[in-house]
Amino acid sequence: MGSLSQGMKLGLRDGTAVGLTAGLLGLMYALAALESGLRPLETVFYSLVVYSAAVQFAALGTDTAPGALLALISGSLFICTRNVLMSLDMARDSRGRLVELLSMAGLVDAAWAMTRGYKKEDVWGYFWGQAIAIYVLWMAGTIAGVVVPLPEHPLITAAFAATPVVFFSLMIALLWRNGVNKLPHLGAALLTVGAAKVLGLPDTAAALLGASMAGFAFAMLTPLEAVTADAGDKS
Amino acid sequence: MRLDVVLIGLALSAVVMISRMGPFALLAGRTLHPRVRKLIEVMPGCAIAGFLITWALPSEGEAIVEKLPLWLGSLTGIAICWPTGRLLLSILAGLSVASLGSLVF
Repeated sequence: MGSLSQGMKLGLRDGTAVGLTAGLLGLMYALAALESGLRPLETVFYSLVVYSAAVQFAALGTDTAPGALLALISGSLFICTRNVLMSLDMARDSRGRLVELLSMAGLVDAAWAMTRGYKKEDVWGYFWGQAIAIYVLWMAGTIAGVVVPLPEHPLITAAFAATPVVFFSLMIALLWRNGVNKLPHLGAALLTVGAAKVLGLPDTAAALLGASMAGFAFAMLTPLEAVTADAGDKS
Repeated sequence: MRLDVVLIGLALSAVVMISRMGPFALLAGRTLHPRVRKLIEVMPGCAIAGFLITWALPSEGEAIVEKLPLWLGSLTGIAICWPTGRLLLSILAGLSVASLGSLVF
């Protein structure tokens, strides 16, 4: 239990830094949601129960007609493939405990990327700490967005528009910092550009095709060694 | 709160939570072939890279120069985060460069 608490403490500490950036995303979502016609309480409700910026942004302004709802759900399934992949990756470290499965409710890119770089024991305590800190700050950002009036300024608008791209760039930087091989990531980016701009696929489909091809080629064609130095040693 | 908003929120929540917990429940504790293990380890990063690049590319009717501030902001963030690991400083610097760049481009 002492070990779990220590991991969780570290997770909460590191998760606070990451969570502040997630809070910015929450704030940005709140502003966009209010502009699209959601009421303040509905905006907070979405962040509370859905807890996925990409899915929530995709849902903004959705019609309630059955066809539109079906398109929204199927689109969300596509967006959630990242969750599926991260969940599978986390399962490699599982010891089959219920507490590990429950922690997956807080699985977001930032918590996953940080946990991948965690070198000590008690990965699950650390992950729980990350998940709690990021969720709390995400909600704080959303609530701030619906209650605090922000001044309209081109610099603020531009900063909000840039937040998702800059945030995800940092997730990649964290992975690289942890010693993960960069080759498949660069391959995925190049193949995605090709699929989107040459084949003309929609962005999500292009991203999935590019990622699948790069990941599969890397896993099958390169020598069998751990992608990260610490892989498999943390559980 | 409107009922339709609540129902859509709950439906999306179900989709998201199943995508987070379902694969874990299926795979936890299973022995995997090393190649499959390697594929699972590398795929999330590939997906993040793929999604990231689609957001950073110009959309229909948009000039590439309009996305330049995003690229500069991202590269600034990476340049700080990669060697130092300081996430908050990285995102603040990245967003500052991106927003200032949007005034120029």
